[in-house]
Amino acid sequence: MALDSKNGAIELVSVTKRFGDMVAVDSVSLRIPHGVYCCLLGPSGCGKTTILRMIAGHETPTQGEIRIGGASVAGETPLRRGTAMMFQAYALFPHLSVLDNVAFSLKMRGLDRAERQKEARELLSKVRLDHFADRLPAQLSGGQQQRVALARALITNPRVLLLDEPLSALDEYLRLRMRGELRRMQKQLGITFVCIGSD
Amino acid sequence: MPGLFVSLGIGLVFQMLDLSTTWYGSALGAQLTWTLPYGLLIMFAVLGRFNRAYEEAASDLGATNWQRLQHVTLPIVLPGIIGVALFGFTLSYDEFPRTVLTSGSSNTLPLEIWAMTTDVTSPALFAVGTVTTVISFIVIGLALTSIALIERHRVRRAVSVGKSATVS
Repeated sequence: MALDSKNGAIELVSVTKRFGDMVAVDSVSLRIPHGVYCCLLGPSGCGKTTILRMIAGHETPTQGEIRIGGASVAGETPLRRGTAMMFQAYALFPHLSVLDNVAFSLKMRGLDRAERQKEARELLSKVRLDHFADRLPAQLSGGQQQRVALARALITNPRVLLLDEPLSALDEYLRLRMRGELRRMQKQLGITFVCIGSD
Repeated sequence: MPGLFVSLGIGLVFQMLDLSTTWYGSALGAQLTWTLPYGLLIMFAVLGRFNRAYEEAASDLGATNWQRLQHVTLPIVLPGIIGVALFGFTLSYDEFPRTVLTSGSSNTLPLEIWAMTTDVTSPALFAVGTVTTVISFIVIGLALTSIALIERHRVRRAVSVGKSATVS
Protein backbone atom coordinates (compact mmCIF):
# COMPACT_ATOMS: atom_id res chain seq x y z
CA MET A 1 0.00 0.00 0.00
CA ALA A 2 0.97 3.60 -0.47
CA LEU A 3 2.37 5.82 2.26
CA ASP A 4 -0.82 6.84 4.01
CA SER A 5 -3.52 4.36 3.10
CA LYS A 6 -6.21 6.30 4.94
CA ASN A 7 -5.75 9.74 3.46
CA GLY A 8 -7.69 10.16 0.25
CA ALA A 9 -6.91 13.80 -0.44
CA ILE A 10 -6.24 14.34 -4.14
CA GLU A 11 -4.08 17.05 -5.61
CA LEU A 12 -3.53 17.79 -9.28
CA VAL A 13 -0.57 20.06 -9.99
CA SER A 14 -0.91 21.69 -13.44
CA VAL A 15 -1.77 18.41 -15.10
CA THR A 16 -1.80 18.40 -18.89
CA LYS A 17 -2.78 15.55 -21.16
CA ARG A 18 -2.26 15.55 -24.89
CA PHE A 19 -3.40 12.91 -27.35
CA GLY A 20 -1.20 13.65 -30.35
CA ASP A 21 -1.96 17.26 -31.28
CA MET A 22 -5.17 17.42 -29.31
CA VAL A 23 -5.03 18.85 -25.82
CA ALA A 24 -7.57 16.99 -23.70
CA VAL A 25 -6.67 18.51 -20.33
CA ASP A 26 -4.84 21.85 -20.22
CA SER A 27 -2.80 22.44 -17.03
CA VAL A 28 -5.51 21.71 -14.52
CA SER A 29 -4.73 22.29 -10.86
CA LEU A 30 -7.21 20.94 -8.40
CA ARG A 31 -7.35 20.08 -4.74
CA ILE A 32 -9.93 17.65 -3.38
CA PRO A 33 -9.82 17.24 0.41
CA HIS A 34 -10.12 13.84 2.03
CA GLY A 35 -13.56 12.41 2.66
CA VAL A 36 -15.64 14.63 0.41
CA TYR A 37 -18.09 13.86 -2.35
CA CYS A 38 -16.72 15.81 -5.29
CA CYS A 39 -18.44 16.12 -8.63
CA LEU A 40 -16.79 17.19 -11.88
CA LEU A 41 -19.40 18.64 -14.18
CA GLY A 42 -19.19 19.82 -17.76
CA PRO A 43 -20.27 19.08 -21.30
CA SER A 44 -19.08 15.86 -22.90
CA GLY A 45 -15.62 16.08 -24.42
CA CYS A 46 -14.32 18.68 -21.97
CA GLY A 47 -11.80 16.29 -20.42
CA LYS A 48 -13.43 15.25 -17.17
CA THR A 49 -13.22 11.54 -18.00
CA THR A 50 -9.54 11.99 -18.85
CA ILE A 51 -8.94 13.63 -15.47
CA LEU A 52 -10.69 10.75 -13.74
CA ARG A 53 -8.73 8.17 -15.71
CA MET A 54 -5.46 9.91 -14.86
CA ILE A 55 -6.30 9.86 -11.15
CA ALA A 56 -7.14 6.16 -11.51
CA GLY A 57 -3.87 5.41 -13.30
CA HIS A 58 -5.39 4.26 -16.59
CA GLU A 59 -3.88 7.26 -18.34
CA THR A 60 -0.53 8.95 -17.75
CA PRO A 61 -0.38 12.74 -17.63
CA THR A 62 1.79 14.32 -20.32
CA GLN A 63 2.88 16.97 -17.82
CA GLY A 64 2.23 17.73 -14.19
CA GLU A 65 1.82 15.60 -11.13
CA ILE A 66 -0.96 13.82 -9.30
CA ARG A 67 -0.73 13.37 -5.55
CA ILE A 68 -2.95 11.24 -3.41
CA GLY A 69 -2.61 11.49 0.35
CA GLY A 70 0.24 13.94 -0.14
CA ALA A 71 2.49 11.61 -2.14
CA SER A 72 3.02 11.46 -5.89
CA VAL A 73 1.44 8.40 -7.47
CA ALA A 74 3.26 8.57 -10.82
CA GLY A 75 3.75 5.09 -12.24
CA GLU A 76 1.79 3.33 -9.50
CA THR A 77 -0.88 0.72 -10.24
CA PRO A 78 -4.52 1.53 -9.35
CA LEU A 79 -4.37 -0.86 -6.40
CA ARG A 80 -1.26 0.75 -4.94
CA ARG A 81 -2.78 4.18 -5.44
CA GLY A 82 -5.68 3.10 -3.27
CA THR A 83 -8.16 4.14 -5.92
CA ALA A 84 -11.02 2.10 -7.30
CA MET A 85 -13.05 2.95 -10.32
CA MET A 86 -16.68 2.35 -11.13
CA PHE A 87 -16.85 2.29 -14.90
CA GLN A 88 -19.43 3.79 -17.15
CA ALA A 89 -21.77 0.93 -18.12
CA TYR A 90 -20.11 -0.85 -15.16
CA ALA A 91 -17.94 -3.32 -17.15
CA LEU A 92 -19.05 -6.24 -14.98
CA PHE A 93 -17.38 -9.44 -16.20
CA PRO A 94 -20.17 -11.16 -18.17
CA HIS A 95 -18.86 -14.70 -17.63
CA LEU A 96 -18.65 -14.48 -13.84
CA SER A 97 -21.48 -14.61 -11.30
CA VAL A 98 -22.26 -11.56 -9.19
CA LEU A 99 -20.36 -13.10 -6.28
CA ASP A 100 -17.29 -13.89 -8.38
CA ASN A 101 -17.38 -10.38 -9.85
CA VAL A 102 -17.25 -8.87 -6.39
CA ALA A 103 -14.60 -11.36 -5.23
CA PHE A 104 -12.42 -10.82 -8.33
CA SER A 105 -9.88 -8.55 -6.67
CA LEU A 106 -9.45 -10.95 -3.75
CA LYS A 107 -8.93 -13.83 -6.15
CA MET A 108 -6.17 -11.87 -7.90
CA ARG A 109 -4.56 -11.34 -4.51
CA GLY A 110 -4.60 -15.10 -3.98
CA LEU A 111 -7.11 -15.43 -1.14
CA ASP A 112 -8.67 -18.87 -0.90
CA ARG A 113 -12.18 -19.51 -2.10
CA ALA A 114 -14.04 -19.64 1.23
CA GLU A 115 -12.39 -16.50 2.55
CA ARG A 116 -13.00 -14.37 -0.53
CA GLN A 117 -16.59 -15.54 -0.90
CA LYS A 118 -17.31 -14.68 2.73
CA GLU A 119 -15.92 -11.20 2.28
CA ALA A 120 -17.76 -10.70 -1.01
CA ARG A 121 -21.05 -11.81 0.53
CA GLU A 122 -20.65 -9.31 3.34
CA LEU A 123 -20.17 -6.51 0.86
CA LEU A 124 -23.08 -7.72 -1.27
CA SER A 125 -25.36 -7.59 1.74
CA LYS A 126 -24.20 -4.02 2.31
CA VAL A 127 -25.61 -3.07 -1.09
CA ARG A 128 -28.59 -5.38 -0.39
CA LEU A 129 -27.92 -7.82 -3.22
CA ASP A 130 -26.87 -10.95 -1.29
CA HIS A 131 -29.82 -12.94 -2.65
CA PHE A 132 -28.60 -12.34 -6.22
CA ALA A 133 -25.08 -13.67 -5.58
CA ASP A 134 -25.34 -16.58 -8.04
CA ARG A 135 -26.81 -14.66 -10.93
CA LEU A 136 -24.94 -13.50 -13.99
CA PRO A 137 -24.71 -9.72 -14.52
CA ALA A 138 -26.91 -9.96 -17.62
CA GLN A 139 -29.77 -11.20 -15.41
CA LEU A 140 -29.81 -8.05 -13.31
CA SER A 141 -31.46 -4.70 -13.92
CA GLY A 142 -29.40 -1.57 -14.48
CA GLY A 143 -29.71 -0.38 -10.91
CA GLN A 144 -28.73 -3.78 -9.54
CA GLN A 145 -25.73 -3.97 -11.89
CA GLN A 146 -24.61 -0.64 -10.58
CA ARG A 147 -24.74 -1.83 -7.00
CA VAL A 148 -22.67 -4.87 -7.98
CA ALA A 149 -20.13 -2.55 -9.60
CA LEU A 150 -20.06 -0.49 -6.42
CA ALA A 151 -19.46 -3.58 -4.28
CA ARG A 152 -16.77 -4.82 -6.66
CA ALA A 153 -14.92 -1.51 -6.46
CA LEU A 154 -15.24 -1.21 -2.68
CA ILE A 155 -13.79 -4.65 -1.94
CA THR A 156 -10.29 -3.28 -2.56
CA ASN A 157 -10.77 -0.97 0.47
CA PRO A 158 -9.97 2.13 -1.57
CA ARG A 159 -9.33 5.56 -0.10
CA VAL A 160 -10.68 7.14 -3.28
CA LEU A 161 -13.63 5.92 -5.31
CA LEU A 162 -13.85 7.24 -8.85
CA LEU A 163 -17.25 7.13 -10.52
CA ASP A 164 -17.50 7.59 -14.28
CA GLU A 165 -21.00 8.90 -15.06
CA PRO A 166 -22.62 6.60 -12.50
CA LEU A 167 -26.16 7.78 -13.13
CA SER A 168 -26.24 8.20 -16.90
CA ALA A 169 -27.58 4.71 -17.65
CA LEU A 170 -30.47 4.92 -15.16
CA ASP A 171 -33.98 6.30 -15.48
CA GLU A 172 -35.13 9.37 -13.57
CA TYR A 173 -36.56 7.47 -10.61
CA LEU A 174 -33.51 5.24 -10.11
CA ARG A 175 -31.22 8.18 -10.63
CA LEU A 176 -32.64 9.99 -7.62
CA ARG A 177 -32.50 6.87 -5.50
CA MET A 178 -28.95 5.94 -6.49
CA ARG A 179 -27.77 9.49 -5.88
CA GLY A 180 -29.03 9.23 -2.32
CA GLU A 181 -27.57 5.78 -1.92
CA LEU A 182 -24.13 6.82 -3.15
CA ARG A 183 -24.15 9.80 -0.81
CA ARG A 184 -25.12 7.59 2.12
CA MET A 185 -22.37 5.11 1.19
CA GLN A 186 -19.80 7.88 1.00
CA LYS A 187 -20.75 9.23 4.44
CA GLN A 188 -20.69 5.76 5.93
CA LEU A 189 -17.27 4.87 4.52
CA GLY A 190 -15.73 8.29 4.98
CA ILE A 191 -13.60 8.01 1.84
CA THR A 192 -13.25 10.44 -1.07
CA PHE A 193 -15.74 10.06 -3.90
CA VAL A 194 -14.95 11.73 -7.21
CA CYS A 195 -17.87 11.59 -9.55
CA ILE A 196 -18.35 12.91 -13.05
CA GLY A 197 -21.65 13.67 -14.70
CA SER A 198 -22.72 15.46 -17.84
CA ASP A 199 -25.82 16.97 -16.31
CA MET B 1 -7.48 -25.23 -58.61
CA PRO B 2 -5.45 -22.33 -57.19
CA GLY B 3 -4.57 -24.37 -54.13
CA LEU B 4 -2.49 -26.66 -56.29
CA PHE B 5 -0.44 -23.72 -57.59
CA VAL B 6 0.30 -22.55 -54.06
CA SER B 7 1.34 -26.07 -53.25
CA LEU B 8 3.53 -26.20 -56.37
CA GLY B 9 5.16 -22.87 -55.54
CA ILE B 10 5.92 -23.74 -51.94
CA GLY B 11 7.14 -27.19 -52.94
CA LEU B 12 9.49 -25.69 -55.55
CA VAL B 13 10.86 -23.07 -53.18
CA PHE B 14 11.59 -25.76 -50.59
CA GLN B 15 13.35 -27.82 -53.25
CA MET B 16 15.43 -24.86 -54.46
CA LEU B 17 16.47 -24.08 -50.90
CA ASP B 18 17.33 -27.73 -50.45
CA LEU B 19 14.86 -28.17 -47.59
CA SER B 20 12.85 -31.35 -47.17
CA THR B 21 9.07 -30.96 -47.37
CA THR B 22 7.16 -32.35 -44.41
CA TRP B 23 3.49 -32.44 -43.40
CA TYR B 24 4.23 -30.55 -40.18
CA GLY B 25 6.42 -27.93 -41.92
CA SER B 26 5.79 -26.97 -45.51
CA ALA B 27 2.30 -28.52 -45.68
CA LEU B 28 1.26 -26.73 -42.50
CA GLY B 29 2.55 -23.48 -44.00
CA ALA B 30 0.65 -24.10 -47.24
CA GLN B 31 -2.54 -24.73 -45.26
CA LEU B 32 -1.99 -21.58 -43.23
CA THR B 33 -1.94 -19.46 -46.43
CA TRP B 34 -5.54 -20.59 -46.79
CA THR B 35 -6.89 -20.73 -43.22
CA LEU B 36 -4.98 -17.87 -41.56
CA PRO B 37 -6.70 -15.04 -43.50
CA TYR B 38 -10.11 -16.42 -42.56
CA GLY B 39 -9.10 -16.95 -38.96
CA LEU B 40 -7.69 -13.43 -38.78
CA LEU B 41 -10.88 -11.99 -40.25
CA ILE B 42 -13.07 -13.71 -37.66
CA MET B 43 -10.71 -12.76 -34.83
CA PHE B 44 -10.97 -9.12 -35.91
CA ALA B 45 -14.74 -9.38 -35.56
CA VAL B 46 -14.46 -11.17 -32.19
CA LEU B 47 -11.98 -8.67 -30.75
CA GLY B 48 -13.87 -5.75 -32.28
CA ARG B 49 -16.85 -6.70 -30.16
CA PHE B 50 -14.67 -7.09 -27.06
CA ASN B 51 -15.09 -4.15 -24.71
CA ARG B 52 -11.71 -2.84 -23.53
CA ALA B 53 -13.35 -1.63 -20.32
CA TYR B 54 -13.31 -5.25 -19.07
CA GLU B 55 -9.51 -5.22 -19.22
CA GLU B 56 -9.31 -1.86 -17.52
CA ALA B 57 -11.66 -3.03 -14.80
CA ALA B 58 -9.42 -6.08 -14.25
CA SER B 59 -6.30 -3.93 -13.91
CA ASP B 60 -8.19 -1.57 -11.65
CA LEU B 61 -8.96 -4.51 -9.36
CA GLY B 62 -5.29 -5.42 -9.13
CA ALA B 63 -4.91 -8.07 -11.81
CA THR B 64 -1.47 -8.41 -13.40
CA ASN B 65 -1.30 -8.51 -17.20
CA TRP B 66 -1.12 -12.28 -17.17
CA GLN B 67 -4.03 -12.65 -14.71
CA ARG B 68 -6.06 -10.25 -16.82
CA LEU B 69 -5.52 -12.39 -19.91
CA GLN B 70 -6.21 -15.63 -18.05
CA HIS B 71 -9.28 -14.62 -16.03
CA VAL B 72 -10.95 -11.97 -18.17
CA THR B 73 -9.88 -11.66 -21.80
CA LEU B 74 -9.55 -15.33 -22.73
CA PRO B 75 -12.80 -16.55 -21.10
CA ILE B 76 -14.78 -13.78 -22.79
CA VAL B 77 -13.39 -14.37 -26.29
CA LEU B 78 -13.16 -18.18 -25.93
CA PRO B 79 -16.35 -18.97 -27.91
CA GLY B 80 -14.90 -16.96 -30.80
CA ILE B 81 -11.60 -18.79 -30.61
CA ILE B 82 -13.36 -22.18 -30.63
CA GLY B 83 -15.37 -21.01 -33.64
CA VAL B 84 -12.19 -20.01 -35.45
CA ALA B 85 -10.61 -23.38 -34.66
CA LEU B 86 -13.59 -25.38 -35.95
CA PHE B 87 -13.92 -23.25 -39.06
CA GLY B 88 -10.20 -23.43 -39.76
CA PHE B 89 -10.22 -27.18 -39.39
CA THR B 90 -13.12 -27.58 -41.81
CA LEU B 91 -11.47 -25.33 -44.37
CA SER B 92 -8.15 -27.08 -44.07
CA TYR B 93 -9.60 -30.60 -44.13
CA ASP B 94 -11.34 -29.82 -47.39
CA GLU B 95 -8.33 -28.22 -49.05
CA PHE B 96 -6.05 -31.14 -49.85
CA PRO B 97 -4.63 -29.65 -53.11
CA ARG B 98 -2.41 -27.35 -51.03
CA THR B 99 -0.89 -30.36 -49.33
CA VAL B 100 -0.29 -32.49 -52.45
CA LEU B 101 3.18 -31.22 -53.29
CA THR B 102 4.25 -30.07 -49.84
CA SER B 103 3.56 -32.97 -47.50
CA GLY B 104 6.81 -34.83 -48.17
CA SER B 105 7.11 -38.56 -47.71
CA SER B 106 4.09 -39.25 -45.50
CA ASN B 107 0.49 -38.48 -46.43
CA THR B 108 -2.09 -36.54 -44.50
CA LEU B 109 -5.51 -38.14 -44.01
CA PRO B 110 -7.29 -36.19 -46.78
CA LEU B 111 -4.46 -37.08 -49.18
CA GLU B 112 -4.73 -40.71 -48.17
CA ILE B 113 -8.48 -40.68 -48.76
CA TRP B 114 -8.01 -39.03 -52.11
CA ALA B 115 -5.48 -41.67 -53.12
CA MET B 116 -7.90 -44.39 -52.03
CA THR B 117 -10.71 -43.03 -54.22
CA THR B 118 -8.66 -44.04 -57.27
CA ASP B 119 -8.62 -47.58 -55.94
CA VAL B 120 -12.31 -48.33 -55.33
CA THR B 121 -11.80 -51.96 -54.45
CA SER B 122 -10.16 -51.13 -51.12
CA PRO B 123 -12.60 -51.44 -48.19
CA ALA B 124 -10.31 -49.20 -46.12
CA LEU B 125 -11.82 -46.21 -47.92
CA PHE B 126 -15.26 -47.02 -46.56
CA ALA B 127 -13.86 -47.69 -43.11
CA VAL B 128 -12.10 -44.31 -43.07
CA GLY B 129 -15.25 -42.64 -44.43
CA THR B 130 -17.35 -44.20 -41.68
CA VAL B 131 -14.91 -43.20 -38.95
CA THR B 132 -14.74 -39.59 -40.18
CA THR B 133 -18.52 -39.32 -40.45
CA VAL B 134 -19.09 -40.82 -37.00
CA ILE B 135 -16.49 -38.53 -35.41
CA SER B 136 -18.06 -35.51 -37.14
CA PHE B 137 -21.48 -36.44 -35.81
CA ILE B 138 -20.09 -36.91 -32.31
CA VAL B 139 -18.45 -33.46 -32.42
CA ILE B 140 -21.66 -31.85 -33.71
CA GLY B 141 -23.72 -33.68 -31.08
CA LEU B 142 -21.35 -32.63 -28.29
CA ALA B 143 -21.44 -29.00 -29.38
CA LEU B 144 -25.24 -28.93 -29.57
CA THR B 145 -25.81 -30.68 -26.24
CA SER B 146 -23.31 -28.48 -24.41
CA ILE B 147 -25.02 -25.36 -25.77
CA ALA B 148 -28.43 -26.76 -24.75
CA LEU B 149 -27.11 -27.65 -21.28
CA ILE B 150 -25.65 -24.20 -20.71
CA GLU B 151 -28.92 -22.59 -21.81
CA ARG B 152 -31.01 -24.79 -19.52
CA HIS B 153 -28.65 -24.22 -16.61
CA ARG B 154 -28.97 -20.45 -17.07
CA VAL B 155 -32.76 -20.53 -17.38
CA ARG B 156 -33.12 -22.70 -14.28
CA ARG B 157 -30.86 -20.44 -12.31
CA ALA B 158 -32.82 -17.38 -13.44
CA VAL B 159 -36.13 -19.01 -12.53
CA SER B 160 -35.03 -20.15 -9.07
CA VAL B 161 -33.56 -16.74 -8.30
CA GLY B 162 -36.71 -15.07 -9.63
CA LYS B 163 -38.84 -17.12 -7.21
CA SER B 164 -36.72 -16.27 -4.20
CA ALA B 165 -36.84 -12.62 -5.20
CA THR B 166 -40.63 -12.50 -5.29
CA VAL B 167 -40.82 -14.17 -1.88
CA SER B 168 -38.49 -11.72 -0.17
